[in-house]
Amino acid sequence: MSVVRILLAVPGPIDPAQSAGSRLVADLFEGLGELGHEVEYCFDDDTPTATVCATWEPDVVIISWAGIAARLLPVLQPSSAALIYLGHDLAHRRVAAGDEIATPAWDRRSEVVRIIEERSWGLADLSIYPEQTEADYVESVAGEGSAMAMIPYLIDEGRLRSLSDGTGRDVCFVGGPLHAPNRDAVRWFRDQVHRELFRTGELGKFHVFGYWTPEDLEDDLEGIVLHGPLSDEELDDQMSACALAVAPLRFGAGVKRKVVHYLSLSLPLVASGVAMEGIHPDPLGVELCSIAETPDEWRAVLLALRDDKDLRRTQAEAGLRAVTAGYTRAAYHQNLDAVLGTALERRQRRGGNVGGAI
Amino acid sequence: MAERFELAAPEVIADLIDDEAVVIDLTSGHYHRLRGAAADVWASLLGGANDEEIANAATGPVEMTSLAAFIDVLRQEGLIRERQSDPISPARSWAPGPLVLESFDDLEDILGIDPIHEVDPDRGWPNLPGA
Repeated sequence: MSVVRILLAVPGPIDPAQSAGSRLVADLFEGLGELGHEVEYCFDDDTPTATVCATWEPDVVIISWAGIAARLLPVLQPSSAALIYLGHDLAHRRVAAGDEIATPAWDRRSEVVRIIEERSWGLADLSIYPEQTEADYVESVAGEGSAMAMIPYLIDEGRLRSLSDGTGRDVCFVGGPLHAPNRDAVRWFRDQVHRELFRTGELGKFHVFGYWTPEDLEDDLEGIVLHGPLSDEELDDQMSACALAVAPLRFGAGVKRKVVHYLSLSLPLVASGVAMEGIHPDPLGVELCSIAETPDEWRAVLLALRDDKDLRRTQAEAGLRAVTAGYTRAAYHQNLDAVLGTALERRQRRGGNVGGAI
Repeated sequence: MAERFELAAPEVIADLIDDEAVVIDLTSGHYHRLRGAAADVWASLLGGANDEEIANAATGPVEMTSLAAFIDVLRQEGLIRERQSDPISPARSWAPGPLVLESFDDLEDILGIDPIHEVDPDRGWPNLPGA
């Protein structure tokens, strides 16, 4: 494929250190650049994307986040650019699942989100999602070929680590506090699982990475260590110093970057079923982590994994194999080529001249 | 002549969920619910009917000041704007009742922003602005 001009439209400046959503966009920018394409960001709260499109004339516009996609896609439809909606997850499903365990202002707000998502699916030349089942779902609503899966995260081979298998008892969680599933998960794990095991000394401290503030945890920080801004290397070092990682998500949708991150560091992991949805399996078929759902299960599984060195090693090796097969640079580049080719082809079928050669 | 309106698209989108109108402002991230009489009036407004035509389509007496105030709220919220040139549909028959625009702002993170903490620019993490 020859060089393609790609505009990446996002709501505002991104910060990959603070959210998985930002990281996904930053990885996309980096990956497209590595393939030799011309890539530019457009922050829609600064200069309207339509204005940038008119002057820069991109071949492809990738719009991240449902809200701005639904607003921009009708404006950009007359342009010659192929329009891609980057869906980070099926947001209406995440909202619906969250509302089942909370008290929303309106119990049908997931349908509000669905209206927005359906609009984006219908107007984009191609919708891309981190998980094949999500793409399949969109195709079932918006038509065959309207969506495809995109590898969501680029894990640098240099960041892969083998199991350190220290003797500590600390556990860790990584993820931003403004993402509702993360906020629920950390509070739930603190109250239902960690506090008891910490008080009895069966587990050490609970390290929470992702710029959390004491207010995010209602100032209830017994046994909890909050970590602020860290470089990638510092983050990996501090996470690797923990004995176990946890992903106690009770709702959510799509592939969870935190899980891919844990696996890339060979951290022994206990996770909920929701947390493991869509994760690339081990090519050899070995389980990547221990699964738990109820507080009793969580406590039992954490202690079992803590005490079973062989299980930790088996899972760590499986995790590294899964990450290598599903999330490394070579796989990512191949996937991006397919996404761009499909979007440009569908744009040509929609009509009009595509600016760049394929 | 009384004003006619249309949806303030593309920044605003709207749909029906059963008998309720859902109106979403993609710029602010706010969404609104209209029920009963309010949903009927909303549908007639988007069809191009003016306030007099809407009042005439009611099955009972209509307080014109309430109707005008409701339309004004919709306009001030930026949900509707003056109509350009689309064809006009007749106002739908409706039973007068409370004209309420219920507004919500709890989906802003999904609708428009990447959920990132705003930290105090001087003191940095973990201090929130104004804390």
